[in-house]
Amino acid sequence: MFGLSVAHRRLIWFVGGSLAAACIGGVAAGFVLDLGRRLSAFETPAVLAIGLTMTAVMAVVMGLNLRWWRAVDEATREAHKWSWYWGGTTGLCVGAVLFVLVNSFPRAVDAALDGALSPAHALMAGMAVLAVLQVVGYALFWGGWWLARR
Amino acid sequence: MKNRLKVLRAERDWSQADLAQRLDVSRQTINALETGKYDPSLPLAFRIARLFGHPIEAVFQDEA
Repeated sequence: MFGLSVAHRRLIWFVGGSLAAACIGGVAAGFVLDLGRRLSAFETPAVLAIGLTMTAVMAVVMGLNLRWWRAVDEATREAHKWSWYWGGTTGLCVGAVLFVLVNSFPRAVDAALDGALSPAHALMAGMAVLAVLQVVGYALFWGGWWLARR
Repeated sequence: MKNRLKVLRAERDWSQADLAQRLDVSRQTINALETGKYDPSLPLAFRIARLFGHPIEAVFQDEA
């Protein structure tokens, strides 16, 4: 396909397929969630259905990920492994500092948020912040790994 | 670890992309190997040596 290597083709499938799976899963989850809200008796099955849908989406993502991983060369793998270890760990360290700060000054954080987030949304935000910090750390270290080997 | 990858490639008038294609690795990997900033695994080192028709120690030299 357009003279691309197997690894590049599988990367396109991985990214494109993951986005497509996320879109289809998101629409399906939204539909089920809406149904669950309209029919209160449907709420528990809706939670299960959304959980199963997202599990299926993640299974597709990981399957495409595995296909791509098997096609990439060892230096590419090394860059990803090294970056996830050091970038992810660095991101978690930054997250740990934030965790301790929030834990030490809960009233200041509550005052700053001023009820803007429900407990469920605050929990989601906390999980997202940790994930984002790790991904940012990974991306920076991945770029650094290749820059150092130019 | 030092290597003669760049010289051996130049002798055959191959570009980095040509060599990458023959070894089924990325061009960036070839560049990292040639500049000595990435040491290949033993299987890749053997593949490289085989491709150039040399013993592995004629392509890679330990700096220790």
